This record gives sequence, structure tokens and C-alpha cells, in this order.
Amino acid sequence: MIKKAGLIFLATVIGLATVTTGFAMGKQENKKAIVLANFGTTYLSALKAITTIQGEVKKDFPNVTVRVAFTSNIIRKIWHKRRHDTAFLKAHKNDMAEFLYIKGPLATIADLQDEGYRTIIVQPTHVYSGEEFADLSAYVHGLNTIHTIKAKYMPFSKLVIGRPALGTHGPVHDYHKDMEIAAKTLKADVALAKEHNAALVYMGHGNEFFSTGIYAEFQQVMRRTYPGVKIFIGTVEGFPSLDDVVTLVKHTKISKIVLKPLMVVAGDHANNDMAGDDSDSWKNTFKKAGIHVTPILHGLGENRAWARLYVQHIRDAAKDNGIEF
Amino acid sequence: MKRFLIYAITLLFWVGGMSGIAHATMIKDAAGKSVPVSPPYKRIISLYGAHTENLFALGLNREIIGVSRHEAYPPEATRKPVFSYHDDAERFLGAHPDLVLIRPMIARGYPQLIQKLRKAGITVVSLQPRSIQEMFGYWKTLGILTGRAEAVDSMIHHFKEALNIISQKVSLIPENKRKRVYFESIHSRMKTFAPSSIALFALKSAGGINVAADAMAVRKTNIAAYGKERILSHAHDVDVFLAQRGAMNRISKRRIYEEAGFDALKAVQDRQVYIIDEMIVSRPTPRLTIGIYQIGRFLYPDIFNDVTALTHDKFLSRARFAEMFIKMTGIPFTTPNPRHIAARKKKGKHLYGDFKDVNYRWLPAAFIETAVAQGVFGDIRARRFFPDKPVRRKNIAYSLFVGLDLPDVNPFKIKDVSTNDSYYPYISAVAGLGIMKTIKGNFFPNHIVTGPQGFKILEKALKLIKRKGNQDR
Repeated sequence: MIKKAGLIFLATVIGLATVTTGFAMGKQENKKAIVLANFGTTYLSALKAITTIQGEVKKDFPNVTVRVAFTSNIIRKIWHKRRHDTAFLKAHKNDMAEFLYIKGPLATIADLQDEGYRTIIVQPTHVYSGEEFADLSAYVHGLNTIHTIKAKYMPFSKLVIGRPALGTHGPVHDYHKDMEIAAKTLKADVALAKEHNAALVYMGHGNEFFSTGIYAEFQQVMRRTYPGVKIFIGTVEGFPSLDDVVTLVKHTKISKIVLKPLMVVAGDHANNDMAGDDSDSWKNTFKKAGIHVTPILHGLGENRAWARLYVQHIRDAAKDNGIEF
Repeated sequence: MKRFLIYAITLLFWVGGMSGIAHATMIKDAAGKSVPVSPPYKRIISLYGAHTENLFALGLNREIIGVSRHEAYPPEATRKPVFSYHDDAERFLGAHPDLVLIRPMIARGYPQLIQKLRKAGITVVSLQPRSIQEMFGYWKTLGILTGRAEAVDSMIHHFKEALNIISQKVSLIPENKRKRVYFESIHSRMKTFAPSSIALFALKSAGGINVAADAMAVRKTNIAAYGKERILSHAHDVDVFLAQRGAMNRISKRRIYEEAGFDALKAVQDRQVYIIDEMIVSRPTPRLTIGIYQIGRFLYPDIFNDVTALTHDKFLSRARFAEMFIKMTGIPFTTPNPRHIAARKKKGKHLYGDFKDVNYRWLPAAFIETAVAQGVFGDIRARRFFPDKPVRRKNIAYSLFVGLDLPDVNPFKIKDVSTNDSYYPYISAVAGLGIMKTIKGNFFPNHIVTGPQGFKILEKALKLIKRKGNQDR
């Protein structure tokens, strides 16, 4: 009861404080924040990929507010339902509070703005610049087109977006460089394949609306970085397809592969499309071709080195836009 | 219900007796309303998958001119024009149906569409049995509407025969060894099934005991509200957690295992969580017997996956090997994909139900289709399975390599198989692991396999991967 009263008191104080700095009146605050935009996951076991990235970012920016946003509507709804799930709250109340109230990137940005954060870096945890990144960029762009009559009432001082792990188009940050750096973070996967005396095959997500040529290009970068092991990359949607990869693997007369998702979270795609028991899963398609398969069910986000790519991209976005932490 | 049957059957005789003259027969629809009908109908649109499946089972391929959007079985149903209750009445009228079969959900939600169709002289009948007792009456009504009363009798006969076989297996299980089961219908709302529902009939027929017998039906449907707290109140009684998967419940085992609080459930602790396709446990169709058998396989694998009868075969046919493989590995039955997923498959690829030389009436087909979906057979072409042909040693090597996750092994030289032979990698792996023997380096890839040999090979392979039929996959 005392606790509750204390909370109400605290809330009132904060409320009053907010009112005084208030909505488009007087001098606006300019606090800085980072929004980590993920597709999201409902599985606690898969959450590790997201919390690893979040942990790395928080570690490097200890004085900056870091919020996670999920872009998937369905996944957010499932989390919101858990707020009323007494069993869930009993088991996870403290460690999961952030996800119970998880919001989309738009709401997260709006909340931050409301709380006086006017400098915001949105950092997606995407692998490459595809549909998801295009949509997120459109959100950020849209918000940046808000122009108030008086400059002092502009909602944002700076609202910027960081680039995906494998970079994006444009001359500022050479995506070839991004790919080279990303390739270096995958050392452990290559070592594992070597240990198995196998080729390394990645399953990327891809999409049907953009060219997915970057996967083929990244495959080449990986091969150059690790000449000792045969490396292949395919996608669930787009080029190179599973059939393309199987044909190539067969052509090289390889009899064993280590199969891993080239996705941040090892979710349904990894568990079903890649390592599922259906005859047309990636695992079984390779087996039908006479190839021994060792599937690895870990998302890229669980790899700390990969997670740090996003930290660097936040730093770059800050530097490019004159944001100082 | 019984009264209705007598009523309908009497009318049928009456119509039959006055052959040649069209007379109004009366049937009772799902709402209990009498509907005048003039069978047999020849141009039928079915807006519910169960109706479609049953009409096909009655041999009405030609008479069905339209189906609902998410048909899954038989494959012919996925090739028919699609109609929806969202469509304009004009679309239906343009197809000139004489009968449109719906269910109460549609009758409640789209009364205007139905009114328009009826005004245009189309007979619209709403049917949906809510219990197994009602199911046979429902089938008979379909028989009356389509003039296939005899085919319905045979369908009922086969259904009861299958139930008999299952109940004989169940009778081998002592009462005190019967599994207590929670049967989930909708995970997100923690709902189960109404006690009189078809799904719980399936569970009971498979020898399971429903722990949520106190659940109350929601609005006279098959579904019953329950709630997490009540499920957890049975924490120590739930031996098995069974969930239907379908459009209503997109569930995975992982989600159930990770559901907060469920770690208190005995079934979760014992890794006894199973998922079953809604279409074979909740729908009033002949395939319900396959669903019941599958529940039996989950609950009592020793009995439902028993292969003793197969081990006497002088040679293993492809059909018998499929059964042996699926039983011994405990792989659950595959079910056909709904239209929109099947459409993603490449043309010319096999679809569940497509084999012309397989009798789809009962279990052997379920074993064959499951084995095919698992990739057990490397030589599947569209339409033909050759169930009676013998399996050869090379086929078994293939099935073990693809169908099981065998450990890695160093290449093993085989004398009588060329390294260019497409079977070489499978044979080399299986022989290298010692699962199948070689004599002086020879594998004899084309030799046929006897029942006892097949059993021994599979037993060895399963021992190697430490996975038995009753283990959770």
C-alpha cells in the first residue's frame, strides 16, 4: 500500500514536471534516445538474439535511453495479451516488463518525443536493406516532413535512421565495406563447418519485391574472407533460391554441410523452413541430394560480434548527423 | 435427431415410390428448421470444407461446381472454382447452382446473401452436426440431397468398421492406464472443446480421458471456454496436452512448452505435448477415423504403433514398408495442405490424395502419404505410388538417410555400387554406420527385403539415433 502511494506520488511529481515543460509551449527539452527496431518474436528462447543486441547497445551508450520496438503487429498483440496473464506475470514480471508493453516504431518514437526526447536514432536490426528497412525508412522520412510554423516547435531536433548490418545504398557508407566487416563477425560459423569437415550453408530471408542480389554478393565476400571453407548463401524468398544452392552444392561434390539461418532471430523460418521434418524443408532437400546436414538453430543476434555491427551503425548515424552522446 | 432421421428416410421412400414426379422432400437444417428440397441436386456449391469432403467421398466430383476458399482434401477440391460468402449473390447466380450448402456461421452472418439466393430459386441448406450422433444424420441428409443414400450407408459402414478396429486396440489398455488429456481448441483464449463435440468423441474413441469435462460450450458450438487457471488446477492430472492446429489455432509445440505457468503441467514436464490437424479431429468427415487413430498413436504408441503383423511379411511391399517406417519412428500423420499452401508447390509435384493406385479409404493411405511427405521414397512421381511393389535395399538406405537424422560418418567404400550411382551417398552412409550390412564390401542394392529384415534395420537405425516411436519429436 505504502509502495503504491509512493508510486502515485512519484507519478504526480513526474506528471507536474512534464506539464511545466509541456506540449509545444515554452522551451522544449532535447534528450537523446535510441530506438532498436526488430521484427520481433514471441518465443522467450528466441528473445536472446534481441536482448543480446540491446545489451551491447546499452553497454556502449550507458547514458542514453534505449527502447526496443517490434514492427510485427501480430507479435506485439501476443505480448500485450500477456499483460493479463497472471501466470506469465508471476514468472516473468521483472525481466519482461519492457516487452509486455512493446510498441511499434511509430508509437515508440512518438512516446519518446512526448517525453522530451527530440534527438532520436532509429536503428533497425535488419540484415540488409529490403522491404522491412524500406518501410521503416518511410516512417522516419514521413515524420521528418513535419514542419511547424515556428521552428522552436518542431517535434524533433534530429530523427535519423541507422543502416542495416549489410549496409544500404548511397556513397556515404560503402556497403562493400559493411559486408566485409559483417563477414568477419561470422568466424565462429566457419570454424564450426571446418570442424565438421563440411561446407557452410546459410539460409537468408530475402524477399520478392527487391533484388536480393546482395546475398550472392555477400556469399562472394564470405568466400574471399574464408578461402578454406566452401560457403553458400540462399534465401527463403528470392535469389539465390534453395534449388539454386542445392544445385551448386551438388556440383562441388560436397557430402556434408552445416546449415545456419542468416537471420537475426532463429524463429519459425529457422525451425520449420530450414530444419523442419517436412520433405521440402532445407534440411531434407539437402539430404535427398545425398548430403549430410548439421542444422544450427541460432540467430545472428546471439552472436555478440554481429550485435556490435548495429552499435557501430548507431555511432555512424550519430556522427553523420552531428549527434553527440 | 432420431425422429428427424425417420422423418427424412420416410420421405425418401415416398419420393422413391413416386419416381419421375418431382416432389418436395423436407429436411431439417442445422437450426432445426424444416426446409423443402427437391433432390437430387446436380449443381452444388459447398461453402464449408467438411461438406465438400463428404460430397467427394460420395463420388460427386461432377456435381460439385464450386467450393470454399481453403479446401484441402481431396486434391480435386482444390482445383474447383472458389466461392465465398463475401461474394456478391450475382456471382453465385452466374454459376447456376441448384444447391448451396452452408453452415450456421454463414447463415447467421450473411442472411442477405442467403435471402437473395433463395429468391432466385436456389436451395440453400445450412448443416453442421455438433456431435457424433448428429454426424450420421448429417451424412444421410447429404445422401438425400444428392441421391446418394446407398453411398452414405457404405460410408457409415466403413466408419463404424474403423471405429471397431480402434476400439479393439483401446480395449487392450487397462482402465487405470488410460491417459488423462487436456484437448486445446484455441490457445490464445485457453479454450477447450464442449463435452459433446466431435473432437472429444475422437479423444474418447482413442481411449483418452478428458480432464476438462466440466467445460461449458460457447453458444451451442463445439468450443468451450476454460482458462489458464483451470488448466493449471489440473496440473498434475494432465498426462498429455493435445492441441488442434488449424485456421482457428495457429499453434506450435514450442509455444505450448514456453507458455508461462505451463511448466507446472505434468504433460509439459514429461514432454507429452502433441499437435493434431483440426481437419482430422473437428470435422464431421470420414477422415475423422484417421484423426482418432493418430490420437491413439500419441497416447498409446506401443499399441497403435505395433508392427508385429508386418514382421511376418515374406517381402516388404512399399505400402507395408511405409507403415513400418512411420509406426516405428512415431512420425505423426501428415495431412493435406489447404489450397493456398498447396498452390505454392511446383506444378507436377505430388499432392496428398493424388495417387491413383492407393485406396484412400483408411489407414494404409495415411501411412503412405506420411512416408512420402517425410521423403522416405526417392522415386515419387505424380499420381502413382506402386504400393505392392517390393522395396529394395537401396530404397531402404535412401529412406533412412533422408527420413532420419543419422549421425555423420566417414565415406565407406561399396564395391557393387558405382560412386556415380545416385544411391551411392545413402548406401555409403548407411553401410558406414553399420545399420545395413555388407558382405565383402558388397551391398546388394537391388535385393528385396523381408519383414523381419526391415524391422531389424529400422530398429538398428533408431537405436543409433536414440529415438523411439513414443519420443517427442
